[in-house]
Formats: sequence, C-alpha cells, structure tokens
Amino acid sequence: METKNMTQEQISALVDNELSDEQVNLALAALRQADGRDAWDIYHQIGDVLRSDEMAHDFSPDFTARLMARLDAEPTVMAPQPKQVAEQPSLVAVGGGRSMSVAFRRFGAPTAMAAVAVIALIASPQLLVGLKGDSAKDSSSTQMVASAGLDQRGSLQNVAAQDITVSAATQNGVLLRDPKIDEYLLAHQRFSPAWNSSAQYARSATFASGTAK
Amino acid sequence: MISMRRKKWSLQLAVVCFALVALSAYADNGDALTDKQTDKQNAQAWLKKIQLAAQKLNYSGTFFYQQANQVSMSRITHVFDGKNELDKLEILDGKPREYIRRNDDVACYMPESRTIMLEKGFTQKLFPALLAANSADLTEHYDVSKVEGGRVAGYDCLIITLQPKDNLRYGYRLWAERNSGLLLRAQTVNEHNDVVEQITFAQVVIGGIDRNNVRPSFPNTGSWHVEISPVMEANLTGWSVTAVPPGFKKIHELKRMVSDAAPNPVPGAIVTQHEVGQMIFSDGLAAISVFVEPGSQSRTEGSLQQGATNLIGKRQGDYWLTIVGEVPAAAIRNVANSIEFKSK
Repeated sequence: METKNMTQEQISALVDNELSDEQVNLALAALRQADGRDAWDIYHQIGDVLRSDEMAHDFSPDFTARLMARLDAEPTVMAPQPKQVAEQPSLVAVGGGRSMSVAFRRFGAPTAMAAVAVIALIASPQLLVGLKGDSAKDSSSTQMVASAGLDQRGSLQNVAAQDITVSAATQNGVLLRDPKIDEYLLAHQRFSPAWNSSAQYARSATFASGTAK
Repeated sequence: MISMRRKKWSLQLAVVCFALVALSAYADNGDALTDKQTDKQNAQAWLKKIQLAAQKLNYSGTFFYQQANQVSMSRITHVFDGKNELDKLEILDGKPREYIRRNDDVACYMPESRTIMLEKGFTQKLFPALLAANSADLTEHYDVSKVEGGRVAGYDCLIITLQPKDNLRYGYRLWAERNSGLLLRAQTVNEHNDVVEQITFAQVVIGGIDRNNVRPSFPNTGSWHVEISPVMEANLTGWSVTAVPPGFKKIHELKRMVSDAAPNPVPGAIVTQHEVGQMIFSDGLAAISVFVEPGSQSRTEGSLQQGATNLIGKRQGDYWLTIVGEVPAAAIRNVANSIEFKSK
C-alpha cells in the first residue's frame, strides 16, 4: 500500500515536472503498470479541470489507444526545422543562472504538451470521419491533418494547407476559455456599449474574477 | 358520423378564425395605426429617458450580472453633481475590485497587488453618448416597442423591447422604472426568445445619495503602485473589414501592448511584449471588436460562445486575428471572413 502511494506521488511529481533525472526513470517504469497509467491520466485530468471547467468530461475508454493508432498510421512528413525552436533558448539565455534552466524546463514541458494538444484537436474531427468508415476519404483527410498540423507550428507557409486548417477549425474547433482568451473578452467589453457604465464593469468583472491578473 | 362532426367543427373554427382576422384588419385600418406609430415614438423616447436617467440620477444598489452559467454580484453608487458624473463600482464576488469613475477617467483599485490602474479619456465618448446619438437609427435595425411590465427590485417598471430585424444581432428587453426611467433590468435574448445574458438590480435606492459614498474604500493608497493603462488611439492602416452587420459603424481604432507572459510566470524571466491593434464596431447596442497582432506563436484556431458573446480566433497570413462581439455566431463568422489586409 505504501509503495503504491509512493509511486503515485512520484507520478504526480512527474506530471508537475518536479522529478530529478534518477527519479524520472523509476516513475517512467511505474507508468508501464496499469495502475501507474491510470494515476498519470487522472492527474492530467485534474490539472485540466483546474485550468478550465470545460475540460471536465470523460474520454471514451480506448481513446488513447485509438489516437496512438491514428498517429502511427500517419505518413511521416519531411520538413525543415521550425524557427521557433531556435528562438526559445535565446529568451532563456537573457536571465542566466540556475533559475533560468529551471525556467526553461518548466516552459519546455507545457509547450510540448500544447503542441500535442493542437494536433489532437485538429485530428479529432478527422478521427470521427475515420470511425464512420469510408477508407478512401479517410486516408486523404489524414494527409490534410498532417500538413495542417505542420502549418500550426509555423514551419510551412502553404496557402492551401492553411485554408484547410481554417475551415476545419472554425466548423469543428471549439476553443476553451483560458486566461489568454479572457484578455480579449476583457479588452472588448471594456469598449463595448452597455446600458450604463455599471453593466460594462460588471461584465469585465465576470471575466476578470476567473483570471489570474 | 364522427367524421361529419369533425368537419362541422373545423368549419366553425374556420369561420371564427376568419372573423378574427377580419376584425383585426378592420381595427388596424382605423386609429390603431397611428396609435402604433406614437407607441413607437414613445418607446424611442423611453430609450432616451433610460440613457439620461443613468447619467443624471443619483442611485445606489446591488445587481447581478448573469452570463451563460456565470453569475457575479456588484454594488454601484452613482452621483451627478450638476456638472460631473461620479461612479463607484464594487465587485462583490471573486477578487476584490473597485472602480471609481469621474466623467471620462476611470481608476481601478486592486487591493491584493496594491495597484491602481488608470484609464483616461475613453469612457464618456463611447458609452452613454452612443445610445442617445443612435436611438433614431436603432429603429432601422430593431422593432422598438413598449409593453406593460412588472416589478423589479420593488419598483413598478415598463418594458421596452428591441426585436432585431435580421439574424445578425440579438434582441433586448429593458425594464425601466416607471417614474425616473432608471434601467433596473436588461435581458439579451436570442432568436428563440431565450435569455442569453441579463443584468438586474436586486436592491436599489433612487435619489438622496451622499457624495462621500463614491470615494474609494481604501484609506491609504499613497504607497500603492499606479499604472497607466497601455491603450492609445491608433490608425490601423491597411486593414479593412467589409462585412460588419448593417448599421454597425467603426467607433474606435486602438493599440495596446500585451505581454507574452505564461499564465504562471516564473520570477526573473524576461517578459516580452507585442502590439495588438483593435477595431471596434457598434450599432449602439452591441459591439464587435477585431484584434490584429503578429502571429508568430502557434495557436489553436476555433470559436467560442459565452452567453451573448461569440469569439473566433484565426490565422491570416503572418497575422493572428481575434473577432469578439455580443452578436450571434453567424455575424461574427461574416466579419471574420471579410477581413483584408492591403499593404500600400
């Protein structure tokens, strides 16, 4: 029982990126167990729900397996190294010292996760198409997903691929409320006409209260 | 036999219906028509009265603002001294915030960070003046009517309804206090007449408010940090938006600096900033903002609906566009698809 608790603690720390290198190996080994996987999933879900209420929903049981299978089936796209990767370290270098390397690690993980999330979000409508059958259409849409995903990372300025991204995202993509989006809502409502000034501020306040500002 | 009966019934029904239609048509031809016209003018006059009441009256009360599944409560105190308008708004839920407004200038007090944020010169030009100036134009895009209303916060009210003439804007129901015209409740309704957003006083006192009640609640703010809001008027040359809903006019072009900080910034990290342009369009009741910024980061495209507010984020060439407004999703989509950039 105690070892189980300890493992879960390790996995929790792994999710938060707070493990030392030696501990990481142990935690990764724990993830091979079903228990460990479940803990990993649940800690991520807790994190998601803390960030946004709208993340509070269950995935179908075999979601991960299906997503992984789809990713495996995707063609490998050869593309030049994205520019952004080069930009990030320069930002890190400015501060210097040990705290900055920690900062980089902290920033690194969410960025990688965000990239995965972007791909997952774009892939999911296509997944639905895939599940409905029609394999010919299916394979072509996979192709589109790959190029659209690349475009998101800014490495390709392909106009055709971009159009696809736009239509796919604006039809199916529902954005989640996050602090960044709250900023736009706030900036808009600050200048939106309201019945009297009180309504205007009350509106802003609704958004501001949820934001760590 | 049964079928005979049914036929007879339907015949009777038809006769009654016909009679009703004929009767109403007759009524419409008579004095009712001019009555309707004066009703409409009356309703418009009430819109102006609502607008003036909010500026010229002294009042203090607590109100709820509800948007989708969110509710927040605030307390407003308003004083007009014959020349100047003074407001104090206290946010009662979540983080403590206090807004003190004197005509065009707003100071926001944030006690937990001991910060005062100042914003100068934007408010007055926009809000109260807007509706008053446009209230004749409003009837081009809304059917305005006045109906008898119930009570709100203990006061007898009239209801002014604004029914949109197209599907590119929401409708509104406004409860105004019968004597003073002070707005006590406002509802935004969609095409099914469902309330998508509302604001309503729970308790309010009209008249007899002491001027001391609009002072900030915090005694010693001398040591507080004062920030000037980083917003300025600007000219976003090259950008055009062609498909705003009819009646929407550009009321502002602004620029602001936005920091690229992560949600949980690490102390010591250098925070970079970038410039965001904002164009604001309004028909006097609702507004649409178009935000334009350099789009170097990877971001997710998509849309969001929150109460009456719709938002679309999309990439266009090297730019990232965010379109926000209290208008139906279709209107926001039209706007988003009509944004063009021509470099000269």
